[in-house]
Amino acid sequence: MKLTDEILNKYLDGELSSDELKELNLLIEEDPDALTTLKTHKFVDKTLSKIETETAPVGITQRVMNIISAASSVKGKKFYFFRFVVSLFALLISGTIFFIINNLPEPEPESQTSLKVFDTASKFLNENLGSLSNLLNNNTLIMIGGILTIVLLISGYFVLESHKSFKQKLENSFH
Amino acid sequence: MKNLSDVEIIDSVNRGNQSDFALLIERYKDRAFSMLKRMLKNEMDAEEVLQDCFLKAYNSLNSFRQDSKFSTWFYRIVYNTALTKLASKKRKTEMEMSSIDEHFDLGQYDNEIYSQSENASMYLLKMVNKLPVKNGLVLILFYIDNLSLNEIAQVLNLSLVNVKVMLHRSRNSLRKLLEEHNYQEELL
Repeated sequence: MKLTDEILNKYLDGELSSDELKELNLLIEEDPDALTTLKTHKFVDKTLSKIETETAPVGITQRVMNIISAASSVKGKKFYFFRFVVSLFALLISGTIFFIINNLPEPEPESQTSLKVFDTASKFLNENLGSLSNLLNNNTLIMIGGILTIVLLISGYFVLESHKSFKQKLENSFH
Repeated sequence: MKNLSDVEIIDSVNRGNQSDFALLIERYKDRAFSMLKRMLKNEMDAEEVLQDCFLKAYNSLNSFRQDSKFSTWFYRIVYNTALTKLASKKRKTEMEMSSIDEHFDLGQYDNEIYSQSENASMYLLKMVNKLPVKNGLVLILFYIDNLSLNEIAQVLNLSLVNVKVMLHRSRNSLRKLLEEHNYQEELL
């Protein structure tokens, strides 16, 4: 066996087979230069595990944590605001559905229902579409439109404000 | 709390204990900073990128699937963020060029470092800083972070063979430098 770089690295990485290991042991017993080379290579390996790491700048942990808490508090506020807006929309939709349900036609007697399914369905649709078109034609539509516009304007204002305050907090945490 | 594993800390942060993320920062800040300083060669840039890396890691913590170690995942963020920084400074090409075929030109620093070193260990550790960037990163990740060669390959986006070649070449070059200065006599 000749002591090559490959053998030395295989030795360090524990990749030599038992036969190769026996050959290496024989070699270093017979050849003192091979033993020196092996010892030097092992020394390199041992010393490399003592590579010094740099020390991160003081306060880096606090700075990162400040940015994270600033961002999450703004995110939390945003979350509550959007929950409020969504609830408002849900309320409006529920109101509309409630209004439609209140205008449902009286159900027919059970014996006639099976025979008049299609008639009932078409009657129901006509009546509800009729009431919906009445709804769209009267002042209620203007009122709903007005409410939606106000809600959208208020939402826009708060989104803008929360964006501004987020930017402000980010800048503060950097300084 | 300091004895918690990375996975336990991540679970805690994901459950809403935001402040526990500080434990991960404390655990990785020095090693990540060493990598960044080696890559960016500038303390200010390294500090800025280090902060970015922790914020990126925090924001993506939910997407960390735990199919690899946190260290591998985090160091990949560190490496890629540093590359982006280098690209913005148009120094990425320089970094990319430090391929495994690059010849080690350690000779130019040798005399100066040899004259400043009191013993073989000191000489060796100083010469490590003069290795090509990627070789230095492989050594840090292998010897300090105890990452396997496979994990290092994932972090540096290299093949396993290339990582192995880099590690072996670095060891061989350093051993040959010790032999040139007859340090081996000191070791016997």
